[in-house]
Amino acid sequence: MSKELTIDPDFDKQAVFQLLAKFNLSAGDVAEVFTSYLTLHPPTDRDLGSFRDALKKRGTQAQIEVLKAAGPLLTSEEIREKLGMASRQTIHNHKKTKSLLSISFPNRKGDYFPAFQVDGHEVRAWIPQLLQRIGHGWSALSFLTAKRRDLKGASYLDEVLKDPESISMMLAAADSYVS
Amino acid sequence: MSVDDPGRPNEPAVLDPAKIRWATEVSAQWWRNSHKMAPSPCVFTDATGRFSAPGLPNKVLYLGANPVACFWESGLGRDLNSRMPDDLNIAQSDLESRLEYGVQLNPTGLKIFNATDSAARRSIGARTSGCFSADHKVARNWSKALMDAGADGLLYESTRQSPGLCLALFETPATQNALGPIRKIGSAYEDAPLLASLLAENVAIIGS
Repeated sequence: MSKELTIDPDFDKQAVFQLLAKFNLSAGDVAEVFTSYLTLHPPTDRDLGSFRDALKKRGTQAQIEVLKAAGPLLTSEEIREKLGMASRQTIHNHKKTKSLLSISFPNRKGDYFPAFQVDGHEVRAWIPQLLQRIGHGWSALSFLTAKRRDLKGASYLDEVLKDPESISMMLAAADSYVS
Repeated sequence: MSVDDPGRPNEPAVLDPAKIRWATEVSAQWWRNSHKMAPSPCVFTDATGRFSAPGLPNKVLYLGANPVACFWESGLGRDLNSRMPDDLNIAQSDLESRLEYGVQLNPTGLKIFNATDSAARRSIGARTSGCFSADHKVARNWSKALMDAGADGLLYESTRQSPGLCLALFETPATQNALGPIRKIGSAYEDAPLLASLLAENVAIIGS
């Protein structure tokens, strides 16, 4: 269990955290308490920062899982070599025109390119089609790698790599995503 | 011998418009969650959703009674709903790109069906509220049956726990006339109650 709140200077928050820990409530129990509390104390704009921080803190682990599901990442130089392109500027142009899927990290320099989008020496044809619908790298990656109920826990990425006939299903879902 | 389960969503027959129990009270204030790249915030769509799909007689505009219900019924919310419960993440850019709008509707004269009203459901032979929620294929068949019967829309509960009624407005001359001014409020990322709802639903923000 994270003990970050125990060093929180706000004594009230510290006390509530200790109490929850003492009763050893499950995450579901705490979510229930939280939901009920929200009806008594509706959130305001003053809470925005705290909510964003909490959602992003949870996102650190979620991002690791997304990257795990996406597989290896290539640097600009590595993908340039794989695609046989003349320069990294060409890679940058492809990224700008939504022909290549790239992501970036706040603490690292440069862009990173999921290797799954390259088939031999070419970018898979459905990558630009996806990016025309969901243009942001992290959004597209999250959409592709999420485990789906109706695919029995598989992701769209699993499906399209396994069976190119499922590309149209994935693109229809991407249309729905931005609707 | 097979036993017919009365709780199981059934398929619609051809509906008699004269027998349909239409909603008598429909709110005039609605919310809309729309992608910032959408040509207009109130675009009727035939993208595959709970009550819409290519080939249905009318396109559909999804509205919500509050921004939280509205979010969960938007494309982004529906995508989260389709994921396994331990895989609910969303990119910050997605929340920033979803804009919230207040929408005015003049419901006078509109034929709106209320799927949350059991008497109304009986009037069309829908055995359970699940006809409009459990299986989207079945829900779309009911949507089509209502469209064929001249409905202008249908009221339904969000499948998420978020409180609030939703309205699937069908694209008809009457609904186009009934839509009033639209007011942009802000992005989903600036909506504290929505972020609280995401937190309660175990969603994480990635890619920030």
